Amino acid sequence: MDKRFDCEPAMKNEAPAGMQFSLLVQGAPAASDAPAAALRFAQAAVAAGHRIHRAFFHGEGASIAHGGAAPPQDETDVARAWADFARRHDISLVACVASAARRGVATAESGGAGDAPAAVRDGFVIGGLGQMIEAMNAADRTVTFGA
Amino acid sequence: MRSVLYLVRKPPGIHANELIDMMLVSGVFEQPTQVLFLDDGVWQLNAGQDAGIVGRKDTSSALGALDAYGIQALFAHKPSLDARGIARERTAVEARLVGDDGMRALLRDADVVVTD
Repeated sequence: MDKRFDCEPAMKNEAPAGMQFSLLVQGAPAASDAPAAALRFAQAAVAAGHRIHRAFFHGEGASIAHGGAAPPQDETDVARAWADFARRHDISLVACVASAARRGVATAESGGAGDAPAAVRDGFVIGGLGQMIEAMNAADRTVTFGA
Repeated sequence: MRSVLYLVRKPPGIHANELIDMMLVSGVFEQPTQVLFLDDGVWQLNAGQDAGIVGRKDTSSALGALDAYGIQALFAHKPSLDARGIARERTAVEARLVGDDGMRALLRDADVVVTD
């Protein structure tokens, strides 16, 4: 094993029950496992008695909020699965406005908190990066799911 | 306010510029912020980038804005620089060199680690 990954056992950082997590998702549903992995993490965390404060979708990850995306019917619609799970567990799903605008998911003007223009998928809102900083501060742990 | 370490492992480009945007917002919120360039991330520090040739925005000039937003704690993983033959004099942005121990300390001390 690479020497630089030789660090203390992960058990030391195992979260006591009842913690708040925030998630940062950088990968797109059509190009990365990040959104699905983040969802499975969230499901496991909630099942273990933790709470997810917010999942923030940044960079390519913001494309999950595209209302026009239609994955093949024999594949899991990760965006819908995220929206359903978030609704049941009161989790805020925010896609970065700058990332979303770059990818045609939202317009650059749709930056107001809670603003959801027609093209944005149900269950997601478009928000600024400040909401990610706020999410880091509100949570006991923040977990990044890279692209 | 929780401290954050941005762990930059990818080369310059759109992806890099989007993460730099997040760093700048950390600066605006006066969040204690450190940035560590590791693996191919050290290419972002390489001087003489001319992204304009391929119609892109320069990542090193975007990094230059960090200072104005109060982010001065930039670190470069020396073994990563060495492995790519990037001499310290060839870095466009001032970053303190750290080895594996220094990297471990940065990872241990940060409340939040954000990767790219």
